[in-house]
Amino acid sequence: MNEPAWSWLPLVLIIVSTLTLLISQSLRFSIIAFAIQYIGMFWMISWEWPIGLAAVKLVTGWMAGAVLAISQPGTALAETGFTRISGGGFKLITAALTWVMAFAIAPSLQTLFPAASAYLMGAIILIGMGLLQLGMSHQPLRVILGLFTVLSGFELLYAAVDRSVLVAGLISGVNLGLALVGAFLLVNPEPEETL
Amino acid sequence: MSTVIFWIFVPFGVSILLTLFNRFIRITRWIAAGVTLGLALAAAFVNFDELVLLGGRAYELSTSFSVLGRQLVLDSTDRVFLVLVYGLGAFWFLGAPAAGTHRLFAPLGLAIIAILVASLAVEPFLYAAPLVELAVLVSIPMLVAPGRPAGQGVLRYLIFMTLGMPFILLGGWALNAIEINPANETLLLEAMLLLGLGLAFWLAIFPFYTWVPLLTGESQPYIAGFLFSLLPTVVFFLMLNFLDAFAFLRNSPVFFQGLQLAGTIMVATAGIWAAFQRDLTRLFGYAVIQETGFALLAISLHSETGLALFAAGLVPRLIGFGLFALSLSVMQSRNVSLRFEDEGLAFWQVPIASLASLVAIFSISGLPLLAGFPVRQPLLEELGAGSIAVAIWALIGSAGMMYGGLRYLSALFRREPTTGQPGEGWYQIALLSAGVVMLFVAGVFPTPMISMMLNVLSGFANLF
Repeated sequence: MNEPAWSWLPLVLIIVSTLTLLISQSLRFSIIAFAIQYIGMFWMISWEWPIGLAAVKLVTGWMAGAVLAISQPGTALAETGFTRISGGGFKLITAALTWVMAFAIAPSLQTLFPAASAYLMGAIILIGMGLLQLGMSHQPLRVILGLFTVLSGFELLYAAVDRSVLVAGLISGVNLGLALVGAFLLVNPEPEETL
Repeated sequence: MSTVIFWIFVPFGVSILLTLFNRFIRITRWIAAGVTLGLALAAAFVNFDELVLLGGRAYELSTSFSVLGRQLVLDSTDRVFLVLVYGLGAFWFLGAPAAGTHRLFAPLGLAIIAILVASLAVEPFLYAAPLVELAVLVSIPMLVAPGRPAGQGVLRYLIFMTLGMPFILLGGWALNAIEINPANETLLLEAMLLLGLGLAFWLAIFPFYTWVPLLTGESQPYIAGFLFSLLPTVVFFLMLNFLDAFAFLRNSPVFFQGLQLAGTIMVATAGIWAAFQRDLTRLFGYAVIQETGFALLAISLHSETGLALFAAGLVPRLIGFGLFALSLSVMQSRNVSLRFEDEGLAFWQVPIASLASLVAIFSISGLPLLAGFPVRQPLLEELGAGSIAVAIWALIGSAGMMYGGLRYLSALFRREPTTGQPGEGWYQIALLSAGVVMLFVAGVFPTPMISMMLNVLSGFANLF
């Protein structure tokens, strides 16, 4: 398949945003990176889908980011297991390994998924970085962000093979549900009362 | 009127209302129990193919409903399944007052049942994956009680179940692609791998089951028990749907060998860990893993007998989990420790709950005269006919679970008897006693239970 013009740009957006999500301990930077990640994903999906349908992914992702942003305390991303420099360095190295893996296997995936090489690289990087996030943290917000990243990568792969409106709607519902679950896990509700 | 409206949209609508009024905890529990019981009875007695008489008027029940160009279908072949799922809901909601579940259990539990029924009703059924994921998301506020932080078990449950959805969707796409190009062996292998991984995540199959004992340890056992009896049941039916729909899958020996290997490892490891367990909630988790393993082994027999044993095992599994989870919740509600070293004291504080949990463990491990035995014994016999090694490992797993039960029995009678009233309330005593009696009755007279459950397979015409 022919590479669309500027195909490297959304790929860079995805690499930078997922790395920020993995390393940053600032909520503000993480939410901005989350929003940029969905811009990159929307850009890539628009190569396969009509713009209107692809915009569903962008809107859903931004709404999910907004829900998470307004519902959690600023310390939700603070790491306890790593020191700042060594932890960040370790994460950077593992992220680099994920990029290398994505660059290596994306061309061979073209036999299974009819999409551009940059598109498949974006999907693999999202899945890989999401799994790294899931494997490296036990904090609810990081787990939720990791799940969003993995699901974004999968959505890219699935968009290359299926254009069902129902599935797009259901997956958007899942994304919003995941954001609400994330908000629930972060907010400390009032104690139980019985009437 | 449509069956889809009655058995999916009505309970879902009721669940939304109950969620809005979730602080009226007693009312919401009884309404949820009433709705599920009513729907189970309606599915048992209303024939979907005939006119329904209501208030002197005759109504025709349509069996399909269109949503975004796809169909939700609940026809006569789904009636037994509806009875099973809504009966299961009624069973758990009726026990909720005795277990002391929190205010979100009944509303969200009802929503989960409605969504899971929708996942089995949607056609093509490949679209079931996002619906199952939605049910999982709805279950999170149920597992994390209001006012408490989420533990590792809940987070892992969320991660593994969410990772299952992409694999099932991509596997479904690959299956459809094979229908068009059946000669493509790479695609065939890819479809089986994707589906296998998706099902492994959803059913907590080895090696993705580490979260199960964690979840039972940190969530209220009754709520965890509800999920562990409902979710795997629905996912197993989805798996049977896949097998029923795709000939190459049900004719693939590799797929069934994989099921057998995973099932054997689950049964054996869960039994061995259970034998050395000192915490009742974690023992419950290993019981869940072992039951899933036995269900996989039954399906892996790849025969009519195997499927019959899978279906027959659903009721003992439900009653066993229900009784075990209820007794653990009763003990927790009385501030009784669930660790073995404290059980000597527990027995004199909550004797009926302690004995009920013991009976449940023995039933799950397949002790004769209890509900698990009439299914477990022929299953081991069938497994032995195919492979002695698999049967021996399954037997080791059962023996391990039974040894765990015996250690619990020994822990119960470690202290000198003291006099006093049982700590359980009358409703708790009634439900626990009913559970014990049901396990004995189903163990001594298993035939009616087994023949009733065989009807649940009537929708899978191609499997026999």
